[in-house]
Amino acid sequence: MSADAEREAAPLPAIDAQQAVDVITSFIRAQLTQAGFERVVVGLSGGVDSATVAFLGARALGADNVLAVRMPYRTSSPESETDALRVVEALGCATERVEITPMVAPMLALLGEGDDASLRVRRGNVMARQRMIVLYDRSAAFDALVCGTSNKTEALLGYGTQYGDMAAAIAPIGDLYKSQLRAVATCLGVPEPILVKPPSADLWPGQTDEGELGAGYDDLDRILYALVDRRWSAARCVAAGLDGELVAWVGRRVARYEFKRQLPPVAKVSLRTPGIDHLYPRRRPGSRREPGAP
Amino acid sequence: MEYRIALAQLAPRLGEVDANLELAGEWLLRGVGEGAQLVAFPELALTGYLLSDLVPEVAMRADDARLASLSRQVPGVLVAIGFVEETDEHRFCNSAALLRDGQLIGLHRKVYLPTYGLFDEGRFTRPGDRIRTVEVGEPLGRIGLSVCEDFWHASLPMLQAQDGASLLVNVAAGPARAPGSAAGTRAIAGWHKMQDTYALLGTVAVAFCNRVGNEEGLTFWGGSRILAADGSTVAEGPLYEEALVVGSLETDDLRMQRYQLPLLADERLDLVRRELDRIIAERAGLPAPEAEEVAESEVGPA
Repeated sequence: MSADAEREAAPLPAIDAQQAVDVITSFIRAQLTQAGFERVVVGLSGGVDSATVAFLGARALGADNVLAVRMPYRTSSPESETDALRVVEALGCATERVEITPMVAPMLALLGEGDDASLRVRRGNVMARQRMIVLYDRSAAFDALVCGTSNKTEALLGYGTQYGDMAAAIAPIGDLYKSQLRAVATCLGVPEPILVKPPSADLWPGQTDEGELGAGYDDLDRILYALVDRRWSAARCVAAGLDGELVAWVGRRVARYEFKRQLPPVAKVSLRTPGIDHLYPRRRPGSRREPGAP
Repeated sequence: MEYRIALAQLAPRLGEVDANLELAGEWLLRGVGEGAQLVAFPELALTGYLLSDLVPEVAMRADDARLASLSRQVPGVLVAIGFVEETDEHRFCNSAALLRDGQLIGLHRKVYLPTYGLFDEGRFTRPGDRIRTVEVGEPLGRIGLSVCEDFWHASLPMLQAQDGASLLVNVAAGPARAPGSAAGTRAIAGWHKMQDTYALLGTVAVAFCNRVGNEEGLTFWGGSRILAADGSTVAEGPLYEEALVVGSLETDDLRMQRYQLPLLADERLDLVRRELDRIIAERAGLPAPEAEEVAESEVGPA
């Protein structure tokens, strides 16, 4: 963190991008080795998060071991696909295009007509979960693990679909705030157009994250960094110049969506219960998949 | 003299201090309505149990006005209640307060924080380092407070009995292991045996207030109990359900019980201490502390 940022009352979370890249690529390699895999699949949207994950995967494993899956819906912006292809071209990794429109159409028809917020969220969830189904299927075909593309800002705000875009075998950028991701993406050489465009889940035309969340990522990250990483009280955030209403809203969202960040609670009725008192590392002697085994 | 005790076997709300204070106030009045002179609440009754990183958010000083004011509404009544205490040095402890007439008259910080099996307390709270009793006046004299796991270490209630307690109050948040199965029944039976044994060997009455309700995957089993100083069961609450468990002790019985069964008076505290000092020294690889003195006395005139 620069001296200026240190002095700033409520700064953005700073990061040494090169060190973050080193740590995360080492993490990806270790996770795959421990699980007995050599490859990853990444759902490539054309946005900065999935581009960064694809770059990190290629840096860690070599581009030959990365499969980038593009999964547009009929209303997805053509620019998103153009940007996704920029990543594929820059990395030289394998890519597949699996349009989800015909897969989700029957389900969306059941949801009915209309354009209210609740319906839009439900449609978005159907699409996100369909993409999860495609990604997990491609991972089996490609003999790979699914690399998640959720960042820390989204995870803390619960801005993601449970068992949809939040589903993954590993989460390489899950502890990077959106504002930090840009620095990491720049360091990795993610193409410029992807770095500068407004973040969007691209679930309906004209959607932007900041429009939907009602606040800019920099403002949100300043607050999250203060509340979560520095464990500041809301009062201290406000004293440091952060917007009181937004601080309260962020605090409520972090609490409300705790459930999305955890496995479901298991009702304990036995002597040993997974997640409660049956506790092991995910990978341990005996858990490594034999090479080539399903 | 009859001494009436009520155990508030309730289900606190996780992380909601204000709601729990209100709940405690209501149960306190119910207890007093039943004629209780002492109303005990479970471990962490003001905060809920599985707090994790909520600990600093729900913590209060032992002299917090909210805590004291609980007992102000019921003059002369003793209130024992569990909460997260923040000390002046910002140690966060799983504590039980003893209150009367708006005053904090006793405080016990959980000494044994289970951090094994399904428990992870040592990660979020710090242990207490005092085992004391509190003078509350006639007819009880002294009370020994403890919190849940403290009772799984016999030294603690036995020290409190030696320190003059005529009543041990254990406030608990005991989660069920395998409800209904033989193993689950054994776990609860273990608690009962332990309480029976402390009452019997300490010639001391025991009040055990365990919570009910659910948090995350855990279900708390209740089964609060009051035991007389001869080990007999005075009252026992239901499993898993909220209940105000009320019972009366006959404090006049204690005198003759301790005459008939003078275990506390017969205890060889000096011998216990010597042997403890020796064991502690041996474990640390040090010479036994009083070995030389003992050796000298052995060769001296008989």
